[in-house]
Amino acid sequence: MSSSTELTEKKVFLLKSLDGVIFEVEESVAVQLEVIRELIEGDCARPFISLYNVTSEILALVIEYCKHHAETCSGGTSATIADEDLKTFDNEFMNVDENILLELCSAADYLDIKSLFELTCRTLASLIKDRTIIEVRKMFNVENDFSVVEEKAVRKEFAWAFK
Amino acid sequence: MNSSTRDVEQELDRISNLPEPIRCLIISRLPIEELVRTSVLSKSWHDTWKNVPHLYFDLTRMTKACREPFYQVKRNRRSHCARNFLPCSEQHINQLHDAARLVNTILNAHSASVTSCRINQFPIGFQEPVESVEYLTRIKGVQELYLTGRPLIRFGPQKLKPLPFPSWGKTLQVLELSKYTIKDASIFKGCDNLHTLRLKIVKLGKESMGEILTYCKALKEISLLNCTGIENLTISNKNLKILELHNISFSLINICAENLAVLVLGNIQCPASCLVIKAPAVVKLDAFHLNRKDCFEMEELLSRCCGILGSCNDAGRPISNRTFYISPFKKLQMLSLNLDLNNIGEAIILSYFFRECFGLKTLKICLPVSTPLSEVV
Repeated sequence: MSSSTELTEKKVFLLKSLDGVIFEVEESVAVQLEVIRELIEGDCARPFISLYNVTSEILALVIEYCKHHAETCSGGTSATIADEDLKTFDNEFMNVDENILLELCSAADYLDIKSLFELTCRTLASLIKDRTIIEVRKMFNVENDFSVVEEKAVRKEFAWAFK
Repeated sequence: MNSSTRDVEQELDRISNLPEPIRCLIISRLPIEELVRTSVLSKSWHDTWKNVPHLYFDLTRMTKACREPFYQVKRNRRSHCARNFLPCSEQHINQLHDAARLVNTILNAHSASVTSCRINQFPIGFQEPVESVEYLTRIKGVQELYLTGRPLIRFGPQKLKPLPFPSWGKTLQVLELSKYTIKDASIFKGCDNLHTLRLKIVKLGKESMGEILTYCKALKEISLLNCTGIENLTISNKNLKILELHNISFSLINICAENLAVLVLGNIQCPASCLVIKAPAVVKLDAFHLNRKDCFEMEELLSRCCGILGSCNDAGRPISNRTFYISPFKKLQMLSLNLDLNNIGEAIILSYFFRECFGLKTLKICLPVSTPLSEVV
């Protein structure tokens, strides 16, 4: 009896990215995306789900992340080893350029993956931390639309923070 | 993709195009001075920081003036003349006032409500911090508050007498206090929603802890670390899920918590006969001692926890009168202890856990840090 349940095929979902690429993911991975978990729980999940806000490049990364997390958590390893493993994975996973990071961040928000959102926010904050305003502007291509006078006024408002 | 579109993409200002709530969450991880600095990035960033839900102040980072006395204390510690207070010039006092006032200015400029706020090196000797706390709890609706004190300041021959905190209010759910003195527990009146309380290096009045527990009925998690002044700890709370006690000596512990799931007794001193734990739902138990000498006491504590002490003879061997004995740890799944298994008395403790805890899944045993034999004898 038990063997027959094991033999039943794992449920698969097809996720379609913004640029039309289709990814096949198992249910254990798909449920990590809170949006999809809600669909499944509400019984409205169709096997084919279009994700309009995520490009294939980013979706591939997101799936890689979810797969790794799903596998590590379900594997028989003890909690501490799994934790360590996830930490090293997360660190390596965050080793991408700022633009990818930002896209991952908004994708994690859109797909509602809390741990990934938290991770990208933390990484982005660490990029901003201990850098001067000019360096941050350059890193993220933020255009300074203040006039010299205006900027001076803003700086003056919180002068202590710029010392 | 040809090179020109790639270039255009490279120049996109993606971070400013993120929705503001996301930008807020990203920069909410910055310390306050860096957070405020983001206001000059560009016009669209000017007010972003004012909507950040988490604020993190560190007075030692905020002004140079605050940094200096802090390091002075650190140096003093190293040369083994650490004190609870440090002599301070009038100028320093004024600068500290300024920094504390800055916290208020920032809180006033900030426009959204604050979910969590952490303030490090926050003196309570002045009026300004009291105002900040009041503002946070009454107007900002803060839910999580983490405050760390700083060494008391001695001004001339007189020590500054710390002002009491204002009461915490109804919105507060998580409160962590480090390095403060709490003599008057009435500040906890009305903390109906507080579910997590952590006190680290806090000096309490004799009755304070008991009073705090009667005011905060909704507590689910209590953690006391290196606190002094608590002699009797009596907890009777059905909601309590997690209890952590570290480096404290008690003269009495009486815990009655039906739903307690996690119990940590780290380096606790308490006469074994004055320890009563009624916590049948504990899933995880951590009990350890740092030095070998206390370990004997720990052994007694553990035996007591297992409900076997009354029926033990001198050698730690139980007299088999087990009909009256009910194990408080029937549901235990994770156990971590430091035991010397070469010592039969300690090994027996483990055998009790094995006999009583059928659901045990994880077991961690560390050998206590050994001290020279002479000390043990």
